[in-house]
Formats: sequence, C-alpha cells, structure tokens
Amino acid sequence: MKYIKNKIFIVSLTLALALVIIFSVFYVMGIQNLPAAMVQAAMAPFQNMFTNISEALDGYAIYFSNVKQLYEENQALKDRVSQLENQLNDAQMAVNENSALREYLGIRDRYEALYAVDAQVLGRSDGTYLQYITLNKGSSSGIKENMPVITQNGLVGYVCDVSVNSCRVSTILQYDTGVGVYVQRTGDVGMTDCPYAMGEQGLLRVIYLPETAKLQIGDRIITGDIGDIYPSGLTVGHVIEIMPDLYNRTLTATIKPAVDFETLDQVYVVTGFAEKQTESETEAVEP
Amino acid sequence: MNRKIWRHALCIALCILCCILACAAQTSLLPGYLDDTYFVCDLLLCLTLAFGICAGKAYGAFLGIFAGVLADSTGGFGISLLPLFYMLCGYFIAVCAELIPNKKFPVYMAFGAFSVIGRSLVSMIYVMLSSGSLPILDVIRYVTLPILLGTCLALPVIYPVGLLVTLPIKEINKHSIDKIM
Repeated sequence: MKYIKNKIFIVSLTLALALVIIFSVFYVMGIQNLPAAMVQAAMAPFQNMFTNISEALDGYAIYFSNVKQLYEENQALKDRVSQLENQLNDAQMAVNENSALREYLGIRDRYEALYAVDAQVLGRSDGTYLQYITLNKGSSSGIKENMPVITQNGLVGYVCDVSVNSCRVSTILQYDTGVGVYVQRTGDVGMTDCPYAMGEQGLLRVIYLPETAKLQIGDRIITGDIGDIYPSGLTVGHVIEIMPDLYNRTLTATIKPAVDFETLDQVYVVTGFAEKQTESETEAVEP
Repeated sequence: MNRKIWRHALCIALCILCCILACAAQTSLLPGYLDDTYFVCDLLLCLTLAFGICAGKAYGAFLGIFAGVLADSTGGFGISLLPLFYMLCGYFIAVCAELIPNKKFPVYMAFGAFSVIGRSLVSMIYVMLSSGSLPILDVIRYVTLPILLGTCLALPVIYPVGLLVTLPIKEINKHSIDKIM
C-alpha cells in the first residue's frame, strides 16, 4: 500500500493520466495534436539518421554479397571504359533521369495542374497492423493534413499528421482509410477496406460492388470522384480474387495494391490538383 | 551535493538520449529488417524496465512517461495509453526490485515478460478502438504474438544498456541504501 501512496507514484500517475486525456481529447475532437507534432518534429532528424544508416548498411550488404560478380563486372567495365567517353555516361544518366521523369509526368498528364512535393520515407509504424509511414517533409514544405500521397505506381494514402519538418501518412492498408474507387473497365463503384488479416499480407479489398458487376481478375481499380481528398484516376491496385457477399447481395474484390509498401522509399505529396475538363464538360460549362 | 545533482543530470540526459535513439531505431531501422520476420520489437518498453530496475522508481516512472509519449507520437494510433502503461511498468519493476533485492536480472526478465503481455493487451485495445470490433484470432496472430516474441527476445539485450547508462548514479544509490540499512 505504501508504494501506491508514494509521492513519486502519485505525481507520475497524475502526469501520465493528464497526457493520456490531452492526447485522447485531441484525437477524439479530430484537431491536430500539437504536442505529438512537436515530438515528431524533434524526432525527424534522428529518424533521418537511422534511415541513412539503414540505407548504408543495405548498400554494404549488397556490395559484400556480390564481390565476385562485381570484380568480374569491374574488369569488363574497365575494358569498355577505355573505349567510351564520359559523354556516354552522361547520356546514360540523362536517359535514366528522363525515364523517371516520364513516369512522374504520366501522372501529371491526366491533370491540368498537379503540384507535388517529393518526400522520402523516414519511418514506419512499429506494429504489423497499424500502417503509418513518416515522411521527411512537413508544413515548412507546404504540406497540410489530408493531402494525398502517391508514387508513380499509384496511391499510397493521405497525410494525417503534420509537424514542421515531417508528416505522418495513413496508408490505404490502414483499417479506417476507406477510399472511394471504381473499376476502370466496367465503371462499377465501390469502397476500399482493409481487415487485419489482409493488411498483414499487404492486400486490401473493395466492398459494396454491385452484384451485377462483371469483374475479371486483373481489372484495374482506380480512385473515383467521391470525396475531396484523392484526385480521381489514380491506380489503387488490381483485382486478384472476386467473392460474392451473400448477406448484402454485393461483390467483394480482393486487390493487390499497385504500390509495394515494403520497399516504399520515395513518394510524392500532392499539394494541389485540378483535373482536366473533358470536351463535353467544357461545352456544358460554356453558355 | 552539487556532484550528486550533476550525476543525476548526466544520467537523465543519457537516459533521454537512449529513449530517443531507441524510438528512432524502432520506427526507422528495425521495420526494414523485421518486415520479413514475425517479430515486432518494443525497445522503449525494454529501456523503461531497464531504467526502472537499475535506477529506481522515479527514473522508471518519469522515463516511462517520456518513452510512452515518444512511442505514441511517432508510431501510435491517436488515443494514447502508452505513457500511462510505461509509467506503471517503470514504477512497479523498481518496487519489485526493492522487494526482492540482489536478484535484479531475474526480476527484470520475469516482470518484463508480464509487461510485454500487458503491452500486447494495449495493442488489442488500440485495434478495438480503431475498428470498433475485436477479431480476436487475427489480433492474437498478427498483433499480440509478434510483440510478445520480439520484445521478449530484446529484453536481455537491452538490460546492459540500462546498467551502463545508470552508472553515474550507481554510487549514489549504493550509499543511500547503506544509509537506510
């Protein structure tokens, strides 16, 4: 009993309870959790440091595992280097850069204006089920809450917390990140959902698809016009399994996300977008 | 007196630095390597327990709160229970160490195993709050067991860190125990 009436216990318990209440009130009211944002901002440089360490370790591991192969390749390259000029290397670099930019522009082509900030993944949630990632850009780079996050392959999620120099992204594999989507080929509308068992395997599902939808394996699922967060037309994933839901008279499709979340490294945070109007829409708008 | 304060200040600074590094490692370094395994490591819980058993109740409780805030801000869910949970763990492991003297490491391992079970329950509460339901088998398979196994394996590795970081106040604690006896 004396350990519970201890001054240290009472003070620390009061402090801990106060923090629990403050953090929870911020969450329940849906307003930005300033203390948590400050902690995230302070933690960002350390997370950056560990990300760099991790990348360096990966680089060394690959280097040492391929020493023999690298040696032979090096010899072959030495022969070639004597014949080739630095110009060729520059050209190769330009080709690579061009290819990456083309992939990025592939996204931009669909929109009249799509402004994006590129960001690097600093950290991930430590559990197997709560799928959050932390990025190295924050409000100082113009990032705000609810901004969509994408890669050249497709949709990643949306920004849920922002600090000065970092932000946290709730991915589409997070349980409550429901995205309004439609099947590109048939136009059937549904909504994404991610139960734990699927999230663990890196999969999600589309629910509320009409019973009459003529889905096929491999159909592309893209974001729809429902809601203000995501631009429409972004790839979410591809159908790998179709199941009827007997109770709701709807179809449920299991989809494999277009983005590989395990190797996710570089993303774009969409800071603003305006979709291109089709010709018919333009005519309709004009008097 | 002045020297005592300096030693405590140094020890607190080292403990805070350890917590920050552990949190950064837990969110940035470990997920990349543990993704292919079944384990999830809660290094901050291990550190809180190590500080509690090596440095006493006050260290365990207050560093537990600090570790909980770090864990919830960087990798948490929103509704925050970890500061309270870590604080209770840090405090009561120090109480156990006082009740069973000269058996610090066995107490640390036994209490650690119980704390990890508690940590898994906190995760279950998070799942329940985020989904509104509790798919118990999925939660045990994908949440509870990975944390339980990963953190239990990390416990003996982190213990020497606690011993090392609390070295500056070791002599002070020894004298205070002598005085009481």
